[in-house]
Amino acid sequence: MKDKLQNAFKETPERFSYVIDNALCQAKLKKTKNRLSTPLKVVIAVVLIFAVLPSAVFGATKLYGAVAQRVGNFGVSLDISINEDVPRYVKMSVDVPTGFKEQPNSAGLKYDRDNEEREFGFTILPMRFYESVNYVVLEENVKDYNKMMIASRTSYELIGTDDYHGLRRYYVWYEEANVLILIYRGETVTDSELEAFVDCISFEQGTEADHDSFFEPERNAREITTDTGLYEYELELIEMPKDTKVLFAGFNEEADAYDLEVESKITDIRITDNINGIDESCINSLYDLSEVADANGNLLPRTVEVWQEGDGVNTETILLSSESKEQKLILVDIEYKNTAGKEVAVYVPHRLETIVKDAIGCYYPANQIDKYQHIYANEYCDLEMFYLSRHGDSEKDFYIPKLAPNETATITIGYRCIEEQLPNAYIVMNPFTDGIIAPEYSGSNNTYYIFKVQ
Amino acid sequence: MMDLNKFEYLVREAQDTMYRTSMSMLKNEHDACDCVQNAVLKAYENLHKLKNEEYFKTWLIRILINECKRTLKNKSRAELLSDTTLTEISSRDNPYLNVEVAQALDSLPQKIRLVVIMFYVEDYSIKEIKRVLGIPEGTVKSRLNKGRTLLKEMLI
Repeated sequence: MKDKLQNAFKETPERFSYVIDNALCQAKLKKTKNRLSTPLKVVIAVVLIFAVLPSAVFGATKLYGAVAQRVGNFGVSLDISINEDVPRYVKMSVDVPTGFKEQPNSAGLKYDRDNEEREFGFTILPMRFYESVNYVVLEENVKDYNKMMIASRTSYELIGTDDYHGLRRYYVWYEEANVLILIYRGETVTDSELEAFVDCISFEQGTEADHDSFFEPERNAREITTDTGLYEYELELIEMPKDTKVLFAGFNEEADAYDLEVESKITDIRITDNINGIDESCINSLYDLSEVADANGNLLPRTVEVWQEGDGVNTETILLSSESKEQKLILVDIEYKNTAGKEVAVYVPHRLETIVKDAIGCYYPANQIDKYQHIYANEYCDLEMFYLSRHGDSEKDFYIPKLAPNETATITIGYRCIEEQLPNAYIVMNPFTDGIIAPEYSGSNNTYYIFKVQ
Repeated sequence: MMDLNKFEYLVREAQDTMYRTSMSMLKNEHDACDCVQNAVLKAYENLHKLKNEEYFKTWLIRILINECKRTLKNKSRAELLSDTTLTEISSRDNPYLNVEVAQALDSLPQKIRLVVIMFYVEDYSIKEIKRVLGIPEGTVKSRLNKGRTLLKEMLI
């Protein structure tokens, strides 16, 4: 049989070799770069992949612009071809149309109707592209798009299964600046007002400083590949010893910026199977206590469902199994030290995930049972923090402990996880904006550190 | 990290496998070329992530398979291909020489076909297939066994 099969294929045609040549030529033109971080859970994810550049083999010609196509059952891809002649830096101006006014402190990104109700007008997210890329919007709510011209500009309206908080969303391409603007349109905004608004945005040559208001997809893209899983958790997760001191950026409310340094260190990890001994008032109100533990405080099991995701084309997602699994509560003590001379708000950057490492050293979420067959379990551990010890008096402190200048506080966080997955449980540290300051990895400010629970 | 010359050498070495793998999945040379091009670029872009050069080919083919899957998904080809037989596709899009074997291979479900081709045509070991496809060893064996049984019925 082997002989028969080995002789069954034609020789690789020469034209196929040209494709390899072409790809290698393009590779030579590109410099390798570090991947940016993968968010553990995102609502709207942005994927940047290489655009297929015009191929000599097929003689394709590409025009500058943004060309949309659907991606599977939920997603829209915009094939962005930049205009190389655009200046490196551009400055955006919004000549606010009559009837609207800019929201104070919105950095020119939000515009309300100029009436007493201050009805929602527009919110914009301008994105500047430095290279031709395929920009993909993946969101369960996005099913399709409508191509249209708004104020003579190529535009796409995202079509979802339901409304997006009553807002309609448009991508509008400003070719003269290589800028794609995502516009959120308020419910009461008319078509002609939308036209006027799109028309009121203009660009001129600017300086680096003018760029502050631009989102840069190339640099800020967080890659997920939910359809393949290939790059999920790859390399951006760095396993560190539990007692590593990590310096990260905390929030400075006064300056509205993440510019205060906070030091963190995991000091203890405990595993228990009941909630006796913890402060019940510190359990996240998202969880119904009657579903958390029995009368004796013993944790109730978690139902783990295993699903096979549909292929996005022909098949639907189906439930393969549903099983009750015993679970444990993992309590982690973390010491946060405000090393700055000002009060700092600490968005707790530690969470729990179950992660596996494959033979070639890539990390994957453990509940992604067979990524190529799209088989996954719903969840092995809490997605939202189960427990957070109180620090300070206000309600807000459940989420963001405030630390006085030079204060050190030990915060306890807790997550439930099914018992059989404890060997795969990691504390994942993801300071969500300016990231880890030290010890830094490869100069990336988006590195995630992981700490093994057991 | 591997330099571009070595990368180029290893990519060319994997060329035949890339052709057969992409064509057996997509049955369309144009799409296969696109996927191969994307896979090579993506591999180069992510070269720094490859910890062990020994696994380069495995890794590259894994990226290619994902590109092919993405194409099948995005272009709704799965639906089209399910009803497309070899006799209906052009010679250019048919990677097979032997009609009898081609039809037998073509009739296998895609997941099984891929494992069979990797094992018998590309000479991958079960462990390597496991690594490329990211599936458990038992699944590789069961697919291979199923493929073998089906092919025997058709070829012998």
